Amino acid sequence: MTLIKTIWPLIFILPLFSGIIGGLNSKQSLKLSNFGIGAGLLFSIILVWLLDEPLILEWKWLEGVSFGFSIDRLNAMLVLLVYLITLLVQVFSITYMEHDPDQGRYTAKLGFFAFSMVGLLMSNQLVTLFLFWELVGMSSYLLIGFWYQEAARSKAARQAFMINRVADAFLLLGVIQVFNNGYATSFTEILSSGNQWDGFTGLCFIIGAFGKSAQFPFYGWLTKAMAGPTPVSALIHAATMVTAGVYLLVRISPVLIEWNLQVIAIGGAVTAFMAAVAALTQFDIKKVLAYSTISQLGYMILGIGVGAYQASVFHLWTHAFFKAGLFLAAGSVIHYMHELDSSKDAQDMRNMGGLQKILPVTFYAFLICGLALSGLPFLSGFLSKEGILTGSWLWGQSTGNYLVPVLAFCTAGLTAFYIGRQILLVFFGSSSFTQKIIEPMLTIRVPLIFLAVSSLWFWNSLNPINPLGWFWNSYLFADLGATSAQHSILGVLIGSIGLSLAGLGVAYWLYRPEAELTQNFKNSKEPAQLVGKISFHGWYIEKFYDQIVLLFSKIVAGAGWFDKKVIDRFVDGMGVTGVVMAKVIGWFDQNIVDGLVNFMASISQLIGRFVTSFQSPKIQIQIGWLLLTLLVLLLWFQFLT
Amino acid sequence: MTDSLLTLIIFFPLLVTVVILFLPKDKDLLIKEIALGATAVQLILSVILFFSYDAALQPESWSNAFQFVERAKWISLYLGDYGWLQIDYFVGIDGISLLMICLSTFLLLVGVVASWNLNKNVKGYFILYLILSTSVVGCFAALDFFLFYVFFEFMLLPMFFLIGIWGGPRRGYASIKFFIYTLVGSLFILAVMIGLYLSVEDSSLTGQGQEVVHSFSLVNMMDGGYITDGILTPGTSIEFWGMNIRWVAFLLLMVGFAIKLPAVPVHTWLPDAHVEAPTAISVLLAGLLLKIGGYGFFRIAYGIFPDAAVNLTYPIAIFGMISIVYGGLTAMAQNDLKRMIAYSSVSHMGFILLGLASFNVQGAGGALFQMVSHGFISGALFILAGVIYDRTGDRGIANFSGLAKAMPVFTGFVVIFFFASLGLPGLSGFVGEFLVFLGALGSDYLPKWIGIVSISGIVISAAYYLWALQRMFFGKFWTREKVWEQTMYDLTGRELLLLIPLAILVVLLGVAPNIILGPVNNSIEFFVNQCFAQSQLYIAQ
Repeated sequence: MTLIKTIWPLIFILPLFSGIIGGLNSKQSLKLSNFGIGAGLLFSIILVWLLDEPLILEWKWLEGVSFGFSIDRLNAMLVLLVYLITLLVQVFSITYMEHDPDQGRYTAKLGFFAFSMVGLLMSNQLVTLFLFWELVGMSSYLLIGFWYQEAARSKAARQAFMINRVADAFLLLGVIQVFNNGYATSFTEILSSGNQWDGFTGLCFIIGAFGKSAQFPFYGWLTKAMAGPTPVSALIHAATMVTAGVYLLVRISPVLIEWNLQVIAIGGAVTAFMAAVAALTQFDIKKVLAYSTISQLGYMILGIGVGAYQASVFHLWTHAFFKAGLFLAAGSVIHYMHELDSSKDAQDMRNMGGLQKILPVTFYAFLICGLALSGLPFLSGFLSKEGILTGSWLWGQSTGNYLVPVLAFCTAGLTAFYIGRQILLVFFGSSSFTQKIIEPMLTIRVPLIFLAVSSLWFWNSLNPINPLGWFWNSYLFADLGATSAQHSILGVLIGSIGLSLAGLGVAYWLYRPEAELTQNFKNSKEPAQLVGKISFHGWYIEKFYDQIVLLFSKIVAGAGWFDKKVIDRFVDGMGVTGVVMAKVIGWFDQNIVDGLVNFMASISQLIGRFVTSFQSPKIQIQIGWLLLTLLVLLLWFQFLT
Repeated sequence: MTDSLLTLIIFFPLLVTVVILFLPKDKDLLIKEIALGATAVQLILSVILFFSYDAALQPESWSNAFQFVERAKWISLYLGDYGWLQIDYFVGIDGISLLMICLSTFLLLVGVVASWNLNKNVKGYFILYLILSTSVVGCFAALDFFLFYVFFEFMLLPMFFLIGIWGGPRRGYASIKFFIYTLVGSLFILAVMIGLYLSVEDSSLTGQGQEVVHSFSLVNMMDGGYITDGILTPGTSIEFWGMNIRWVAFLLLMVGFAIKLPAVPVHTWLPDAHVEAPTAISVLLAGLLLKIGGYGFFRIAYGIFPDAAVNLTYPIAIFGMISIVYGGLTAMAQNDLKRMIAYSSVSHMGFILLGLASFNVQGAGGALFQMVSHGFISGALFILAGVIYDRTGDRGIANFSGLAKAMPVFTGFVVIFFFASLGLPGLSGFVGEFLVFLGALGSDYLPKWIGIVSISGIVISAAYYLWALQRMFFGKFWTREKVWEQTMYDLTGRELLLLIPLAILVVLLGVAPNIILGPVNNSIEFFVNQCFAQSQLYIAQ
């Protein structure tokens, strides 16, 4: 226990530390940083190995608001996963980023991301979770916009952050609701208290989770996130960050009420299906994988909704490996496409084909990981997906709502099809390139081989077709409360294998090297018919965002206009009125008031002159006037009295 | 020393002004050094103040809620039928004013460093600057309404000249607009002050003579030392436009301080003043002068009229909400970086209104924290805007692109402070907003929708900050005028000296907000409880 208490803070701080060290030394940054991440990986293995009881660390953050972390088996495993993938991605990046002058900045941002992600996983208090939730969003923003000099990429980074931010506002609202309604504010207490949340609070959390895990209607940000370097996509936008929403929902699912869980199940199923459809027609190698990620995240989410959250965690685990493998393999393809012919778009599958011979290790890695994704037995993806499909089927039986299982099964077939199509289009057929590339052993091949081998079944379960045989099941879910009893269903098993074989078969039939579609693929344009258009444009979700942005910008323009032309005009008007009033008063003062005074003055002057005129210098006349006055006065008194 | 610590903090800069007054006009550097020393001493003294403040004090009434109290008779006049007029030099602090004073002295020091490159009439500038410094700190410490008002009004004078002489091209318009706007606001406050004076007595003095001794003491006003038939005595039947006169008085105060804050719709002086003011003065304007509006809400409007406040939470919260949302939307419509930041201030000041309106500890604490945090963040943002202006004489958002290439360190700071301002958790901006939302949504007096609409503010602020970031700092390096490209050098040592401490503070307060909210927690709790208790008492009368 004391060992755990010592290495726990180290696990937490090492990525930040290695990021800073790497950031300071631009030349060797990734290599230096690997030591930090490697040490972190080692520590987290020790942690998983030794951890027994959950540990909690808490302190007062504000009056009535605690800040706290905890470590239990679930998040210890996921921390290990983050470290593992981060290390592989960093190693891969040594070659991928070798020509980039900003390696230091890249390493620093990766370190910051790993720190935030580890923090998110270890958060126990909801406020702490929200803090790291946002930091993860920020580091994702910084990494998507890594090549900031290209305006399109920094724009994509901003858009991805904004879509997340909208969902995050709901999460914040949910966190505040939890505080104000007096619910338990930490995951450990949430689990032990057993109080149900009200539906609104639950919905806020669900929206927050849907944002980060790229579910409908937020999934558009993940395709934009592909603007970042491809290793980053592997790490953040496939294996780690996007699973944060799944993780959050796993944690809170015990307190969610029935209709909340239905929202999760249906939302996940709809997203899984929509994204799988969107992946069918893409030309961009990364976009296919991005939609595939969204679709797989949909599986995990729907698994939680139908109560098969163990299968969701399992799928999160296996998906991290095979999807990181796919992305890194795609990264390798993009990297060498760029080196072979920099005049062509290195991400466009229309420029590829026949790469099997040129990039052999990349090809086999992509193949194994791709088949794992498609759900063939003897591979990891089959096992975990099988659990989710079974869960959805059972849920359908008990609720009578078969929408979710039907969508889930359709998605299974579509998944096999689009990944089969991608493998065929990228690696098979004829190639215009002839030279063979030897990928560097350590930096490219080792990560790829590792991820491909990890996608085989035996790492997870000895029985290749038993989804409940996951080695980690009893380890992980002992302290997560009652495990939902599940058994595998033969029909589901056969159905899922059949669908994935069918998907692959159709893909082969349509896109085999000598097929017509493949021959014309190099010159193909975006689809013209409605379904194809919907698929190609990802259900027009970006159009939908654009409409919202348009509306918003109109409001902004209106507010700006109102402020300038109404409020400020009014204030200026008051000022002008004041000045005019002052001028009027000034005129009045000068001409009327002062005029009156002057008038009086001139009158008195007139009188004065008149009176003065009596005052003659001659004494006789003066006496004469005096006598006359006296006479008048006398007469007046005489008549009056 | 602690006996007269407050007076020392308030008047030390004024004392130094006298020294500067006798210096020859051309000793620019010496004057700057002296001003730097003066504000540094002020900061050190207020740090001492912070650490000798007794955080454990749990007051029973306002009369023992203040620490470091100093009181001396200032003006005593016999006014016949109106009794005695008693004005005191009366200063003291509770947790709320403590934080404001510490914020002020810190930013005043920052402001001196920020104006280090000034070369136009340095002597006059720093004399005015130090006068401003005295009046700002005095405002936060005053416990006599008259004294407060004197400091409050006195602030206008140096500010008017600092903008009007050292400002940008439209400085004349901006400074007059600022001056008249604020003056109108202070007229409202003056009217209420006179009304309060006529209704409040100093009972400790009244007994001695037979006459009523009227008092301007804020403590007496907050503790309810009203005479039986004063104009503003609680339970008064006097009405004004069909509204109880105490409500009218409260509203007048709110309008007066809302102009200073500023809240929508009386905010339009702020962008103009900011755009024209020199960098250091913008820092003070956003960092301190706005906070006096917020402080006035706490100390005067809410402290004295809790009965009106508790009945008017709804409209106040709505104005807060409008400020948050509308300020953010207009910020997005701006083309000038400094104007955008100014409007973001309007948006962030809305949180103070919303927090106070929620009438609970979280809301009030959030409002207070927001004032401190916004002081640091907006100070830094104006320094950052000043950096571009110094190099090019221009701040148009559309006139720059890809500055990150030419100025990477500068861009790093811009990112930190933009994110701090848009409320990224882990940086100080989030804490205030979080507490205010917590207060507003948990308030017994407010409907939920006000809080929910206000939360959209965090989306809007992200929208305009990130948009500005993308347009000015990312993309290909380009400037409208070719010559600017040569002058876009990265931050100088002096600028780093300004920004690094601010960045550290922003991170520190974001990670451990309790280092400042902890010591003042008792004050906030007392403020809220006392407001509530007295509102019940007054309403019952």
